[in-house]
Amino acid sequence: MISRKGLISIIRKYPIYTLIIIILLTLPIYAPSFFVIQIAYGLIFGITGLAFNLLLGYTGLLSFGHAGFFAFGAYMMSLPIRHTGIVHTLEVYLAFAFITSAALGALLGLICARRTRIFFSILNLSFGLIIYSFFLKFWGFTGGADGTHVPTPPLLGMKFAVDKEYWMTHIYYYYILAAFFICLAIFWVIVNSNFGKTLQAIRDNEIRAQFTGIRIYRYRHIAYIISVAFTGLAGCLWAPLNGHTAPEIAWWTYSGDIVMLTILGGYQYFIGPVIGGLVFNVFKIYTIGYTVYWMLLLGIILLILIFFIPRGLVGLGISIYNRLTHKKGSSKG
Amino acid sequence: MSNIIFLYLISGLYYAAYLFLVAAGLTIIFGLARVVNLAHGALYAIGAYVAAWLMGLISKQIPPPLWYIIIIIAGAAGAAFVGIIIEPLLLRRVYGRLEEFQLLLTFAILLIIEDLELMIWGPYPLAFKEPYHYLGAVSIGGGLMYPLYGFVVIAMGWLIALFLWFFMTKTKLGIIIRSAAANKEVTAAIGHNVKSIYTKTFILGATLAGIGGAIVMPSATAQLGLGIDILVFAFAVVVIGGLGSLKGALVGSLIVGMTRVVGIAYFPEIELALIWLIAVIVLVFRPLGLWGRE
Repeated sequence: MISRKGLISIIRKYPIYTLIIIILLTLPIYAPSFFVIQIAYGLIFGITGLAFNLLLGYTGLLSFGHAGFFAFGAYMMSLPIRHTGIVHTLEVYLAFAFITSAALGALLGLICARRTRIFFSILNLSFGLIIYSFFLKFWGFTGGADGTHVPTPPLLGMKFAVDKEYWMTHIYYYYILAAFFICLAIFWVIVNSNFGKTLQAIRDNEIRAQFTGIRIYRYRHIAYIISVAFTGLAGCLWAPLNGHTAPEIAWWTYSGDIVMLTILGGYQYFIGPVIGGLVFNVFKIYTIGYTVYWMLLLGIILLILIFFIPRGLVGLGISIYNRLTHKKGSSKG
Repeated sequence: MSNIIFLYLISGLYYAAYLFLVAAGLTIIFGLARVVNLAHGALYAIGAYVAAWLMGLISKQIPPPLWYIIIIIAGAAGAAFVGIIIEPLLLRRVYGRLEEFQLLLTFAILLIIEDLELMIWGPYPLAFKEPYHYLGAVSIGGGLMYPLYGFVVIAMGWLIALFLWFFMTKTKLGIIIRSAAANKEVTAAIGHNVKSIYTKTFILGATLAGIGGAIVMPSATAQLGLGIDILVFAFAVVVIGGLGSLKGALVGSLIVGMTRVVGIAYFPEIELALIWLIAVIVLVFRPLGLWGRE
């Protein structure tokens, strides 16, 4: 356990993150329901971004098909319910979605773990589209374009006798928050482990990594499996929040959204995709509510990101922070 | 039975013709600039929109045979105009940058063009079907009819394929483009303006997509999301044929066009999946596509 002194020093060292965690923990008390639900979505996209960024930021592979894996995870919850009519506790589906997504990643990784650059991107785009067309066209099995309803599942085996809004904003919100922190911790361990460092070595110099005896394809394959599995897990968390799964979430422009939120937050930073996921979702929802030309606005913001802040919001924050502290130092000296 | 097969064949050639126009532009741009243009489908949509919009304005004043020429010119000009704006202003800045930024930039352009279409032409589909009906249909035996306009589209596709082959191998500009694709520095060193070659190539690619959109428009409509939908098929074409290869784009569009027809007729559930399964199989054996180059 962390001692009280240790805790205080952590808070002093990372005041912004402490503030964010406190806000996230207390949000349902004072924020309107709509906003709380959007933050819940944002947390799920944060998990997706973490999983996606294990490939982009740490392995140097850009996937344009992660929306397909996200949808796959969501359908791993809605399809069993649709066909058996029995609603188990959510953990059963999370485990199921995680395992099946990992298996999917293992299978697809056989084809794409040996490819890099644009070929990896397009291969994943095609996998995503195959998943999309499967959910769309096999309407007898999947519900087709109408999608499939997802009932409110019990959590940890417990049913809650509350209305749906309260369930989403107070009970399921904390469930997602807990899942988010667990995933955050898992990814922190992964990227700082020997495995994570090896991935970064492969990313930086494939040939040199190979010369030191690293089996680069195996490492890429494992990273790919982890990424797909956690993306599927995020999709499964998303399904009961959304209450509905439809094939459109597998469409490739949603993969573009995942790429975008990761770059928005800053893909060179561990926490980047999380910040990106939260900001992107809130921003997108409010612009859609405010104007019909939200895609135009997103496009323009994307241009600004690419040309002026390529290191994302986290990178921008760090450079502003550095400049402020630097000024303080120089005025003293 | 044989006339049914003939019908499939023509339908497949029809899909292939306009897919080739989109995929050829995509592949020419990639071959030189090494950028995969996610906004390429949007240029196709621009071609369809401009042609439909212009014909809606002036079709009453001009004789029907001129329609076909004006549609093509309008589509080509519309897409070329957008190309002239986006290449020097935006795309040029990301050559040589990380791929994720190139893809994101073209994705941003796609989003912006989609909404500009909504802003300019409104949310309802634009249609101008007269050229399609004017030519009527011809009998292809066994009591089956096929619209003559379909043959016009097929002929246009092959004509442009022929033109591209001639342009790339016999004209000076085409040879300079190929030399710049092979080695940018040497091409610049022997006195060619590489920047303007990039712009011209992009405009050529955009024009091809615009023509594709314009000639399909009379048999369909210009509508939102068109540019996003077509790209899925154009990608399949260049993945199968190999990015950067015109021959690949031609063969790839024939494969995708035929697969689509057979898929719709016999396996409607997996039509799209079938196309991408072929793409994946090709990639397993030939990672760069049939005629792709690193």
